[in-house]
Amino acid sequence: MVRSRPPGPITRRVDGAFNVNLNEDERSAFIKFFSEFEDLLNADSRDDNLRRLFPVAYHDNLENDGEFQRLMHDDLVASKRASLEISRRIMLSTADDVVAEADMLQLMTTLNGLRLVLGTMLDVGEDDGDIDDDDPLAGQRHLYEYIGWLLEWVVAGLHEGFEPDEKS
Amino acid sequence: MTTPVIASQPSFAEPSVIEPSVIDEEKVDTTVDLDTPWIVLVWNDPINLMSYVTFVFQKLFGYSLEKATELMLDVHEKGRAVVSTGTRERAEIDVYRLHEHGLWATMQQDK
Repeated sequence: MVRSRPPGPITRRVDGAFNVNLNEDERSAFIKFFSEFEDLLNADSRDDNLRRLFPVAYHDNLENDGEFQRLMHDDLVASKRASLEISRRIMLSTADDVVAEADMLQLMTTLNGLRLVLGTMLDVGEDDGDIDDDDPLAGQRHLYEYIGWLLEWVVAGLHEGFEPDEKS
Repeated sequence: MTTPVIASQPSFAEPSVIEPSVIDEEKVDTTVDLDTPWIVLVWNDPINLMSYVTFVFQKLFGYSLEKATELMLDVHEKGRAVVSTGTRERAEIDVYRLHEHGLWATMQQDK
């Protein structure tokens, strides 16, 4: 007899929607992380730790970039808040609840945003090796890896059955 | 992560303003900025996952998995890649959507 593969944290259903297979503790942890993320956004969206969420648009023209940021920054903050709210609702649901693809896309961007902020705080680089458990920031580094692990599952789930309008 | 520094890139010129009624056809500059397309660049960042970047390229631009992977690898290995080209307005929309997804995107005229 062949044992079936245990389901990962994200399962794509035959109807195209998703189930999120996280336990209560994991869901509670993510609700807390999302709340802290939102607090950072609300406190000062121009905080240096959030710089990867709001990059420059015109890298060699300050004037054009200033205008772009003036027009777009608040919309971008609102967009991230909206994604956070949907992500929080997903974590408040149960493993039996169905998550629509559109909502899973919002969870994807929220997890990536959370990872960008944490990675900035930890000054993550290309050549970072294994986590040293004597590192005082080892806990945060494990958390960074954990969020990346879940994000990989979300992306893999979204990729399943994804059919882009072929452009090239 | 490396900060995008493109010292070799030309700086933007002020848009040319030509009064239509006084255009001397022999002196018309056919390379005015309005005719030059804008390109959208995505820069390498050690935090974004390769699978995530590939998927975002597919989702936002409708690229095939092969094309999106090729662009992602260009970003990863060469430091940046041009992911779209078009009018300034189109480029601004693309940059905004890429920023929504946490990718480090900028735009410039393709000079």
